[in-house]
Amino acid sequence: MRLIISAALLLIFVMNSLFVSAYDIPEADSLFYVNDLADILSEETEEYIVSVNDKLYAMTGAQVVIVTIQSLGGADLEEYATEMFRSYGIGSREKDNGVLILLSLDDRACRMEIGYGLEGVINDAKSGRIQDDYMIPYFRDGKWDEGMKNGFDAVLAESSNEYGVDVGSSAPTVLKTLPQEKEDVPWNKDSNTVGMIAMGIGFVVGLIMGFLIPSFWIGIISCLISPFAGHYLMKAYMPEMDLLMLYMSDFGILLFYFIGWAITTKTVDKSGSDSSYDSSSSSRSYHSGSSSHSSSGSSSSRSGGGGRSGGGGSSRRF
Amino acid sequence: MKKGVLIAIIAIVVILIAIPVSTYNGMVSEQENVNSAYSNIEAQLQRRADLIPNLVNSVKGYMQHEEKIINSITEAREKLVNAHGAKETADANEALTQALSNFNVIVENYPDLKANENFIQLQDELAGTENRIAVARKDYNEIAKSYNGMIRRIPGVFFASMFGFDPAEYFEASESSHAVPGVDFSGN
Repeated sequence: MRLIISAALLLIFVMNSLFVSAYDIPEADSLFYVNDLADILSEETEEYIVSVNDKLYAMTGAQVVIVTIQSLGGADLEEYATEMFRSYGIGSREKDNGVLILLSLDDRACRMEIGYGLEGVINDAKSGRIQDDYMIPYFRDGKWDEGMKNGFDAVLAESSNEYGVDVGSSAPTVLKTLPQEKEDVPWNKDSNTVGMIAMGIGFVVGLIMGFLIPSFWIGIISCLISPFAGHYLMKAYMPEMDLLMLYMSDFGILLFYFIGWAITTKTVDKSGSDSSYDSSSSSRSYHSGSSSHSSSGSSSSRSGGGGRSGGGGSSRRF
Repeated sequence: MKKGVLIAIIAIVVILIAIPVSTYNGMVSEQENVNSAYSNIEAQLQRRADLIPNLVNSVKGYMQHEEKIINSITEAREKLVNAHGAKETADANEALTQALSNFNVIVENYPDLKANENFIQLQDELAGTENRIAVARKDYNEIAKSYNGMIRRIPGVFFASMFGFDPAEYFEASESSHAVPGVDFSGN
Protein backbone atom coordinates (compact mmCIF):
# COMPACT_ATOMS: atom_id res chain seq x y z
CA MET A 1 0.00 0.00 0.00
CA ARG A 2 2.74 2.42 0.93
CA LEU A 3 4.49 1.54 -2.25
CA ILE A 4 1.43 2.42 -4.28
CA ILE A 5 1.02 5.74 -2.46
CA SER A 6 4.64 6.68 -2.88
CA ALA A 7 4.51 5.67 -6.53
CA ALA A 8 1.44 7.83 -6.99
CA LEU A 9 3.11 10.74 -5.24
CA LEU A 10 6.16 10.33 -7.41
CA LEU A 11 3.96 10.28 -10.49
CA ILE A 12 2.18 13.44 -9.39
CA PHE A 13 5.51 15.10 -8.75
CA VAL A 14 6.81 14.16 -12.19
CA MET A 15 3.62 15.30 -13.87
CA ASN A 16 3.73 18.59 -12.01
CA SER A 17 7.25 19.29 -13.06
CA LEU A 18 6.22 18.61 -16.64
CA PHE A 19 3.37 21.07 -16.56
CA VAL A 20 5.07 23.85 -14.69
CA SER A 21 5.66 26.87 -16.92
CA ALA A 22 9.05 27.77 -18.23
CA TYR A 23 9.44 30.60 -15.73
CA ASP A 24 8.28 31.18 -12.23
CA ILE A 25 5.70 33.80 -12.96
CA PRO A 26 4.61 35.24 -9.65
CA GLU A 27 0.92 34.88 -8.90
CA ALA A 28 -1.28 37.93 -9.24
CA ASP A 29 -2.06 39.24 -5.78
CA SER A 30 -5.51 40.15 -4.53
CA LEU A 31 -5.30 43.69 -5.89
CA PHE A 32 -4.61 42.20 -9.33
CA TYR A 33 -3.97 45.56 -11.00
CA VAL A 34 -0.81 46.23 -9.03
CA ASN A 35 1.76 43.68 -8.10
CA ASP A 36 4.62 45.58 -6.56
CA LEU A 37 7.06 42.79 -5.87
CA ALA A 38 10.08 45.09 -5.98
CA ASP A 39 8.33 47.28 -3.40
CA ILE A 40 8.95 50.61 -5.08
CA LEU A 41 5.45 52.00 -5.45
CA SER A 42 3.80 54.24 -2.91
CA GLU A 43 0.49 53.34 -1.34
CA GLU A 44 -1.27 56.27 -3.00
CA THR A 45 -0.09 55.18 -6.43
CA GLU A 46 -1.29 51.65 -5.85
CA GLU A 47 -4.69 52.81 -4.65
CA TYR A 48 -4.94 55.18 -7.56
CA ILE A 49 -4.10 52.47 -10.10
CA VAL A 50 -6.62 50.08 -8.61
CA SER A 51 -9.45 52.62 -8.44
CA VAL A 52 -8.89 53.86 -11.99
CA ASN A 53 -8.74 50.29 -13.24
CA ASP A 54 -11.97 49.35 -11.50
CA LYS A 55 -13.75 52.08 -13.43
CA LEU A 56 -11.98 51.30 -16.68
CA TYR A 57 -12.83 47.61 -16.49
CA ALA A 58 -16.44 48.28 -15.64
CA MET A 59 -16.83 50.64 -18.56
CA THR A 60 -14.72 49.05 -21.27
CA GLY A 61 -13.41 45.68 -20.15
CA ALA A 62 -9.86 46.97 -20.55
CA GLN A 63 -7.27 46.43 -17.84
CA VAL A 64 -3.91 48.09 -17.31
CA VAL A 65 -1.80 46.04 -14.94
CA ILE A 66 1.40 47.24 -13.31
CA VAL A 67 3.97 44.71 -12.15
CA THR A 68 7.36 45.44 -10.69
CA ILE A 69 9.85 42.69 -10.05
CA GLN A 70 13.27 42.71 -8.53
CA SER A 71 14.88 40.62 -11.23
CA LEU A 72 14.01 38.51 -14.25
CA GLY A 73 16.37 35.85 -13.01
CA GLY A 74 17.97 35.50 -16.40
CA ALA A 75 14.68 35.08 -18.22
CA ASP A 76 13.96 36.78 -21.51
CA LEU A 77 12.05 40.00 -20.83
CA GLU A 78 9.71 39.64 -23.79
CA GLU A 79 8.88 36.00 -23.15
CA TYR A 80 8.41 36.65 -19.46
CA ALA A 81 6.03 39.52 -20.12
CA THR A 82 3.98 37.55 -22.65
CA GLU A 83 3.70 34.59 -20.34
CA MET A 84 2.70 36.80 -17.44
CA PHE A 85 0.13 38.59 -19.58
CA ARG A 86 -1.43 35.29 -20.57
CA SER A 87 -1.38 33.67 -17.18
CA TYR A 88 -3.02 36.74 -15.62
CA GLY A 89 -5.46 37.03 -18.49
CA ILE A 90 -5.26 40.79 -18.71
CA GLY A 91 -8.11 42.50 -20.50
CA SER A 92 -11.41 41.02 -21.53
CA ARG A 93 -11.42 37.76 -23.44
CA GLU A 94 -13.42 38.96 -26.41
CA LYS A 95 -11.61 42.24 -26.90
CA ASP A 96 -8.17 41.25 -25.64
CA ASN A 97 -7.73 44.82 -24.51
CA GLY A 98 -5.20 44.54 -21.72
CA VAL A 99 -1.92 46.27 -21.08
CA LEU A 100 0.89 45.01 -18.91
CA ILE A 101 3.58 47.38 -17.75
CA LEU A 102 6.41 45.33 -16.35
CA LEU A 103 9.49 46.78 -14.70
CA SER A 104 12.45 44.73 -13.63
CA LEU A 105 14.59 46.70 -11.25
CA ASP A 106 17.89 44.87 -11.36
CA ASP A 107 17.80 44.40 -15.10
CA ARG A 108 16.89 48.06 -15.56
CA ALA A 109 14.40 46.92 -18.13
CA CYS A 110 10.85 47.84 -18.80
CA ARG A 111 8.28 46.36 -21.12
CA MET A 112 4.87 47.45 -22.16
CA GLU A 113 2.91 44.48 -23.44
CA ILE A 114 -0.21 45.40 -25.37
CA GLY A 115 -3.15 43.10 -25.98
CA TYR A 116 -4.26 42.67 -29.55
CA GLY A 117 -7.42 44.69 -29.03
CA LEU A 118 -5.51 47.81 -28.04
CA GLU A 119 -2.76 47.58 -30.62
CA GLY A 120 -4.69 49.91 -32.86
CA VAL A 121 -4.41 52.72 -30.31
CA ILE A 122 -1.11 51.86 -28.73
CA ASN A 123 1.00 50.33 -31.43
CA ASP A 124 4.58 49.27 -30.84
CA ALA A 125 5.96 52.63 -31.83
CA LYS A 126 3.64 54.45 -29.49
CA SER A 127 4.31 52.14 -26.59
CA GLY A 128 8.00 52.79 -27.12
CA ARG A 129 7.39 56.49 -27.20
CA ILE A 130 5.32 56.43 -24.05
CA GLN A 131 8.24 54.80 -22.32
CA ASP A 132 10.74 57.24 -23.81
CA ASP A 133 8.71 60.34 -23.08
CA TYR A 134 6.92 59.53 -19.86
CA MET A 135 8.80 56.86 -17.99
CA ILE A 136 12.48 56.45 -18.78
CA PRO A 137 13.40 60.03 -17.77
CA TYR A 138 12.03 59.31 -14.28
CA PHE A 139 13.64 55.90 -14.14
CA ARG A 140 17.03 57.39 -14.95
CA ASP A 141 16.70 59.43 -11.76
CA GLY A 142 15.55 56.43 -9.81
CA LYS A 143 12.05 57.85 -9.45
CA TRP A 144 10.31 54.55 -9.98
CA ASP A 145 7.01 55.47 -8.43
CA GLU A 146 6.56 58.64 -10.48
CA GLY A 147 7.71 56.92 -13.65
CA MET A 148 5.30 54.03 -13.32
CA LYS A 149 2.41 56.31 -12.45
CA ASN A 150 3.18 58.65 -15.30
CA GLY A 151 3.42 55.79 -17.77
CA PHE A 152 0.16 54.38 -16.43
CA ASP A 153 -1.47 57.77 -16.92
CA ALA A 154 -0.17 57.97 -20.47
CA VAL A 155 -1.57 54.53 -21.31
CA LEU A 156 -4.84 55.43 -19.63
CA ALA A 157 -5.08 58.65 -21.58
CA GLU A 158 -4.72 56.72 -24.83
CA SER A 159 -7.10 53.93 -24.00
CA SER A 160 -9.84 55.99 -22.38
CA ASN A 161 -9.67 58.31 -25.36
CA GLU A 162 -10.10 55.28 -27.61
CA TYR A 163 -13.22 54.16 -25.82
CA GLY A 164 -14.51 57.66 -25.27
CA VAL A 165 -14.81 57.26 -21.51
CA ASP A 166 -13.56 59.24 -18.56
CA VAL A 167 -12.24 57.12 -15.75
CA GLY A 168 -10.83 59.97 -13.74
CA SER A 169 -7.16 59.37 -14.47
CA SER A 170 -4.84 62.32 -14.22
CA ALA A 171 -3.08 63.75 -17.24
CA PRO A 172 0.44 62.44 -17.78
CA THR A 173 3.41 64.76 -17.57
CA VAL A 174 5.46 65.07 -20.70
CA LEU A 175 9.10 65.05 -19.75
CA LYS A 176 10.84 65.16 -23.06
CA THR A 177 12.13 68.69 -23.52
CA LEU A 178 10.01 70.16 -26.25
CA PRO A 179 11.15 73.07 -28.40
CA GLN A 180 10.39 76.22 -26.48
CA GLU A 181 8.10 78.15 -28.79
CA LYS A 182 5.56 75.36 -28.94
CA GLU A 183 4.56 76.01 -25.36
CA ASP A 184 3.35 79.47 -26.35
CA VAL A 185 0.75 78.23 -28.80
CA PRO A 186 -2.34 77.70 -26.68
CA TRP A 187 -3.96 75.09 -28.88
CA ASN A 188 -0.79 73.22 -29.60
CA LYS A 189 -1.77 70.23 -27.54
CA ASP A 190 -4.99 69.48 -29.29
CA SER A 191 -4.67 69.18 -33.02
CA ASN A 192 -8.41 68.61 -33.29
CA THR A 193 -9.01 72.08 -31.94
CA VAL A 194 -6.56 73.48 -34.46
CA GLY A 195 -8.33 71.65 -37.22
CA MET A 196 -11.69 72.97 -36.08
CA ILE A 197 -10.37 76.53 -35.95
CA ALA A 198 -8.83 76.16 -39.39
CA MET A 199 -12.13 74.88 -40.69
CA GLY A 200 -13.97 77.74 -39.08
CA ILE A 201 -11.64 80.19 -40.78
CA GLY A 202 -12.05 78.28 -44.00
CA PHE A 203 -15.78 78.51 -43.65
CA VAL A 204 -15.75 82.27 -43.19
CA VAL A 205 -13.18 82.82 -45.93
CA GLY A 206 -15.14 80.58 -48.24
CA LEU A 207 -18.38 82.43 -47.56
CA ILE A 208 -16.82 85.85 -48.06
CA MET A 209 -15.07 84.78 -51.22
CA GLY A 210 -18.22 83.19 -52.48
CA PHE A 211 -20.09 86.47 -51.96
CA LEU A 212 -17.33 88.63 -53.42
CA ILE A 213 -16.49 86.59 -56.49
CA PRO A 214 -19.54 84.77 -57.69
CA SER A 215 -17.59 83.21 -60.54
CA PHE A 216 -17.19 79.49 -60.61
CA TRP A 217 -13.79 79.34 -62.28
CA ILE A 218 -12.13 81.97 -60.12
CA GLY A 219 -13.56 80.10 -57.20
CA ILE A 220 -12.05 76.85 -58.37
CA ILE A 221 -8.64 78.43 -58.85
CA SER A 222 -8.65 80.11 -55.47
CA CYS A 223 -9.79 76.86 -53.96
CA LEU A 224 -6.79 75.18 -55.42
CA ILE A 225 -4.42 77.82 -54.15
CA SER A 226 -5.79 78.69 -50.74
CA PRO A 227 -5.50 75.24 -49.20
CA PHE A 228 -1.84 75.08 -50.06
CA ALA A 229 -1.27 78.55 -48.67
CA GLY A 230 -3.12 77.60 -45.52
CA HIS A 231 -1.23 74.36 -45.38
CA TYR A 232 2.17 76.02 -45.47
CA LEU A 233 1.15 78.74 -43.06
CA MET A 234 -0.08 76.22 -40.55
CA LYS A 235 2.88 73.98 -41.07
CA ALA A 236 5.21 76.88 -40.37
CA TYR A 237 3.46 77.81 -37.15
CA MET A 238 2.47 74.38 -35.96
CA PRO A 239 5.01 71.80 -37.07
CA GLU A 240 3.61 69.38 -34.55
CA MET A 241 0.20 69.35 -36.12
CA ASP A 242 -1.09 66.13 -37.45
CA LEU A 243 -0.73 65.88 -41.22
CA LEU A 244 -4.15 64.34 -41.50
CA MET A 245 -5.64 67.33 -39.74
CA LEU A 246 -3.87 69.64 -42.17
CA TYR A 247 -5.33 67.91 -45.16
CA MET A 248 -8.72 67.81 -43.56
CA SER A 249 -8.66 71.54 -42.92
CA ASP A 250 -7.56 72.07 -46.52
CA PHE A 251 -10.50 70.04 -47.55
CA GLY A 252 -12.70 72.02 -45.21
CA ILE A 253 -11.69 75.30 -46.79
CA LEU A 254 -12.40 73.89 -50.20
CA LEU A 255 -15.74 72.50 -49.17
CA PHE A 256 -16.90 75.66 -47.53
CA TYR A 257 -15.85 77.73 -50.47
CA PHE A 258 -18.15 75.66 -52.60
CA ILE A 259 -20.94 76.06 -50.12
CA GLY A 260 -20.43 79.82 -50.12
CA TRP A 261 -20.31 79.82 -53.88
CA ALA A 262 -23.42 77.73 -54.12
CA ILE A 263 -25.32 79.99 -51.72
CA THR A 264 -24.50 83.16 -53.60
CA THR A 265 -24.76 82.09 -57.19
CA LYS A 266 -27.34 79.38 -57.27
CA THR A 267 -29.18 80.59 -54.18
CA VAL A 268 -29.53 77.02 -53.19
CA ASP A 269 -31.38 77.05 -49.93
CA LYS A 270 -28.85 75.18 -47.93
CA SER A 271 -27.27 76.74 -44.92
CA GLY A 272 -23.54 76.24 -44.79
CA SER A 273 -23.35 75.31 -41.16
CA ASP A 274 -25.77 72.53 -41.79
CA SER A 275 -23.16 70.18 -43.13
CA SER A 276 -22.23 69.06 -39.69
CA TYR A 277 -18.55 68.39 -39.51
CA ASP A 278 -18.17 65.24 -37.61
CA SER A 279 -15.19 63.87 -39.40
CA SER A 280 -12.82 66.13 -37.52
CA SER A 281 -12.55 63.51 -34.85
CA SER A 282 -9.71 62.17 -37.01
CA SER A 283 -9.03 58.49 -37.04
CA ARG A 284 -10.63 57.56 -33.74
CA SER A 285 -13.83 55.87 -34.65
CA TYR A 286 -14.10 53.02 -32.21
CA HIS A 287 -16.64 53.87 -29.59
CA SER A 288 -18.00 51.16 -27.44
CA GLY A 289 -20.10 53.16 -25.08
CA SER A 290 -22.26 50.95 -22.97
CA SER A 291 -20.44 47.70 -22.89
CA SER A 292 -21.95 44.57 -21.52
CA HIS A 293 -19.30 44.29 -18.86
CA SER A 294 -20.87 44.26 -15.50
CA SER A 295 -18.53 45.49 -12.86
CA SER A 296 -17.08 42.94 -10.57
CA GLY A 297 -17.82 45.48 -7.88
CA SER A 298 -16.46 44.13 -4.69
CA SER A 299 -12.88 44.96 -4.03
CA SER A 300 -11.54 41.53 -3.32
CA SER A 301 -12.63 39.73 -6.46
CA ARG A 302 -10.52 41.40 -9.09
CA SER A 303 -9.10 39.16 -11.72
CA GLY A 304 -8.18 39.04 -15.36
CA GLY A 305 -10.80 38.91 -18.01
CA GLY A 306 -8.96 36.28 -20.02
CA GLY A 307 -7.08 38.49 -22.46
CA ARG A 308 -4.30 36.89 -24.46
CA SER A 309 -1.37 38.78 -25.76
CA GLY A 310 0.21 38.03 -29.08
CA GLY A 311 3.47 39.59 -27.99
CA GLY A 312 2.79 43.16 -29.05
CA GLY A 313 4.40 46.11 -27.37
CA SER A 314 7.94 47.28 -26.91
CA SER A 315 10.77 47.05 -24.43
CA ARG A 316 13.34 49.46 -23.12
CA ARG A 317 16.63 49.01 -21.37
CA PHE A 318 17.76 52.14 -19.64
CA MET B 1 -31.01 -14.76 -26.15
CA LYS B 2 -31.27 -13.76 -29.77
CA LYS B 3 -32.21 -10.27 -28.70
CA GLY B 4 -29.02 -10.03 -26.62
CA VAL B 5 -26.85 -11.01 -29.58
CA LEU B 6 -28.57 -8.45 -31.74
CA ILE B 7 -27.94 -5.70 -29.20
CA ALA B 8 -24.32 -6.71 -28.91
CA ILE B 9 -23.87 -6.61 -32.69
CA ILE B 10 -25.53 -3.22 -32.90
CA ALA B 11 -23.34 -1.94 -30.08
CA ILE B 12 -20.19 -3.16 -31.80
CA VAL B 13 -21.23 -1.64 -35.12
CA VAL B 14 -22.00 1.68 -33.40
CA ILE B 15 -18.61 1.65 -31.71
CA LEU B 16 -16.87 0.72 -34.94
CA ILE B 17 -18.47 3.69 -36.62
CA ALA B 18 -18.17 6.09 -33.70
CA ILE B 19 -14.45 5.65 -33.15
CA PRO B 20 -13.31 6.57 -36.67
CA VAL B 21 -15.82 9.41 -36.88
CA SER B 22 -14.79 11.03 -33.63
CA THR B 23 -11.12 10.45 -34.36
CA TYR B 24 -11.50 11.93 -37.79
CA ASN B 25 -13.34 14.96 -36.48
CA GLY B 26 -10.79 15.42 -33.75
CA MET B 27 -7.97 15.33 -36.27
CA VAL B 28 -9.75 17.78 -38.54
CA SER B 29 -10.23 20.34 -35.81
CA GLU B 30 -6.69 19.88 -34.60
CA GLN B 31 -5.43 20.38 -38.12
CA GLU B 32 -7.49 23.54 -38.35
CA ASN B 33 -5.79 24.79 -35.21
CA VAL B 34 -2.42 24.08 -36.76
CA ASN B 35 -3.38 25.97 -39.90
CA SER B 36 -4.68 28.99 -38.07
CA ALA B 37 -1.59 29.10 -35.86
CA TYR B 38 0.55 28.96 -38.95
CA SER B 39 -1.33 31.74 -40.67
CA ASN B 40 -0.70 33.77 -37.52
CA ILE B 41 3.02 33.39 -38.11
CA GLU B 42 2.59 34.21 -41.76
CA ALA B 43 0.71 37.40 -40.99
CA GLN B 44 3.49 38.59 -38.72
CA LEU B 45 6.17 37.59 -41.22
CA GLN B 46 4.32 39.53 -43.87
CA ARG B 47 4.25 42.54 -41.61
CA ARG B 48 7.94 42.21 -41.00
CA ALA B 49 8.60 42.02 -44.73
CA ASP B 50 6.44 45.10 -45.22
CA LEU B 51 8.39 47.10 -42.68
CA ILE B 52 11.77 46.45 -44.26
CA PRO B 53 11.36 48.77 -47.28
CA ASN B 54 10.36 51.58 -44.91
CA LEU B 55 13.43 50.94 -42.84
CA VAL B 56 15.69 50.87 -45.89
CA ASN B 57 14.23 54.11 -47.20
CA SER B 58 14.55 55.90 -43.91
CA VAL B 59 18.19 54.97 -43.40
CA LYS B 60 19.38 55.45 -46.98
CA GLY B 61 19.96 59.14 -46.51
CA TYR B 62 22.10 58.55 -43.45
CA MET B 63 24.12 55.61 -44.68
CA GLN B 64 25.35 56.18 -48.20
CA HIS B 65 28.46 54.13 -47.57
CA GLU B 66 26.75 51.08 -46.13
CA GLU B 67 25.20 49.83 -49.33
CA LYS B 68 26.41 46.32 -48.74
CA ILE B 69 24.63 45.87 -45.45
CA ILE B 70 21.46 47.50 -46.72
CA ASN B 71 21.47 45.26 -49.78
CA SER B 72 21.89 42.20 -47.58
CA ILE B 73 18.73 43.18 -45.71
CA THR B 74 16.81 43.68 -48.94
CA GLU B 75 18.01 40.33 -50.26
CA ALA B 76 17.09 38.53 -47.05
CA ARG B 77 13.66 40.09 -47.26
CA GLU B 78 13.22 38.88 -50.84
CA LYS B 79 14.08 35.36 -49.76
CA LEU B 80 11.60 35.51 -46.93
CA VAL B 81 8.82 36.71 -49.20
CA ASN B 82 9.51 33.89 -51.68
CA ALA B 83 10.00 31.13 -49.13
CA HIS B 84 7.62 28.15 -49.03
CA GLY B 85 6.94 25.73 -46.23
CA ALA B 86 7.66 26.03 -42.55
CA LYS B 87 11.29 24.99 -42.66
CA GLU B 88 12.36 27.20 -45.54
CA THR B 89 10.40 30.15 -44.18
CA ALA B 90 11.90 29.74 -40.74
CA ASP B 91 15.38 29.70 -42.23
CA ALA B 92 14.69 32.76 -44.36
CA ASN B 93 13.30 34.54 -41.33
CA GLU B 94 16.39 33.65 -39.38
CA ALA B 95 18.60 34.98 -42.17
CA LEU B 96 16.70 38.26 -42.09
CA THR B 97 17.13 38.45 -38.33
CA GLN B 98 20.84 37.95 -38.83
CA ALA B 99 21.05 40.67 -41.47
CA LEU B 100 19.14 43.07 -39.23
CA SER B 101 21.32 42.42 -36.23
CA ASN B 102 24.40 43.13 -38.35
CA PHE B 103 22.70 46.31 -39.40
CA ASN B 104 21.97 47.25 -35.79
CA VAL B 105 25.65 47.04 -34.99
CA ILE B 106 26.41 49.51 -37.77
CA VAL B 107 23.65 51.84 -36.59
CA GLU B 108 25.68 52.50 -33.46
CA ASN B 109 28.01 54.61 -35.62
CA TYR B 110 25.22 56.93 -36.67
CA PRO B 111 24.00 58.89 -33.66
CA ASP B 112 21.86 61.18 -35.81
CA LEU B 113 20.01 58.20 -37.19
CA LYS B 114 19.63 56.65 -33.78
CA ALA B 115 18.00 59.80 -32.47
CA ASN B 116 15.65 60.11 -35.44
CA GLU B 117 12.08 59.85 -34.24
CA ASN B 118 10.91 58.06 -37.37
CA PHE B 119 13.72 55.55 -37.11
CA ILE B 120 12.98 54.86 -33.46
CA GLN B 121 9.37 54.18 -34.35
CA LEU B 122 10.34 51.84 -37.15
CA GLN B 123 12.73 49.99 -34.89
CA ASP B 124 9.99 49.64 -32.30
CA GLU B 125 7.60 48.28 -34.91
CA LEU B 126 10.22 45.85 -36.11
CA ALA B 127 11.17 44.69 -32.65
CA GLY B 128 7.50 44.29 -31.79
CA THR B 129 6.89 42.28 -34.93
CA GLU B 130 9.89 40.10 -34.23
CA ASN B 131 8.57 39.42 -30.78
CA ARG B 132 5.15 38.62 -32.16
CA ILE B 133 6.76 36.19 -34.57
CA ALA B 134 8.51 34.54 -31.64
CA VAL B 135 5.23 34.23 -29.74
CA ALA B 136 3.30 32.99 -32.78
CA ARG B 137 6.06 30.50 -33.51
CA LYS B 138 5.96 29.13 -30.00
CA ASP B 139 2.17 28.84 -30.10
CA TYR B 140 2.29 27.14 -33.49
CA ASN B 141 4.94 24.63 -32.46
CA GLU B 142 2.95 23.69 -29.38
CA ILE B 143 -0.19 23.11 -31.42
CA ALA B 144 1.75 21.26 -34.11
CA LYS B 145 3.22 19.04 -31.44
CA SER B 146 -0.18 18.11 -30.06
CA TYR B 147 -1.48 17.47 -33.60
CA ASN B 148 1.52 15.35 -34.51
CA GLY B 149 1.06 13.41 -31.30
CA MET B 150 -2.58 12.82 -32.14
CA ILE B 151 -1.91 11.35 -35.58
CA ARG B 152 0.81 9.10 -34.20
CA ARG B 153 -1.11 7.77 -31.23
CA ILE B 154 -3.76 5.08 -31.23
CA PRO B 155 -6.41 5.41 -32.57
CA GLY B 156 -5.36 8.33 -34.74
CA VAL B 157 -2.50 6.44 -36.30
CA PHE B 158 -4.90 3.98 -37.95
CA PHE B 159 -6.78 6.73 -39.72
CA ALA B 160 -4.18 9.41 -40.31
CA SER B 161 -2.64 7.87 -43.38
CA MET B 162 -6.01 6.61 -44.57
CA PHE B 163 -7.45 10.13 -44.62
CA GLY B 164 -4.24 11.82 -45.61
CA PHE B 165 -3.31 13.60 -42.40
CA ASP B 166 0.36 14.46 -42.77
CA PRO B 167 2.45 15.46 -39.80
CA ALA B 168 2.89 19.22 -39.37
CA GLU B 169 6.30 20.68 -39.94
CA TYR B 170 7.70 22.59 -36.99
CA PHE B 171 8.57 26.22 -37.48
CA GLU B 172 12.13 26.02 -36.43
CA ALA B 173 15.36 27.51 -37.57
CA SER B 174 18.31 27.48 -35.24
CA GLU B 175 17.86 28.23 -31.56
CA SER B 176 19.16 31.77 -31.95
CA SER B 177 16.20 32.86 -34.02
CA HIS B 178 14.70 34.15 -30.83
CA ALA B 179 17.63 36.47 -30.21
CA VAL B 180 15.67 39.51 -31.29
CA PRO B 181 18.04 42.29 -32.19
CA GLY B 182 17.42 44.64 -29.32
CA VAL B 183 17.17 48.34 -29.82
CA ASP B 184 19.35 50.00 -27.28
CA PHE B 185 18.58 53.60 -26.43
CA SER B 186 20.68 53.83 -23.33
CA GLY B 187 22.26 56.85 -24.93
CA ASN B 188 25.68 56.08 -23.53
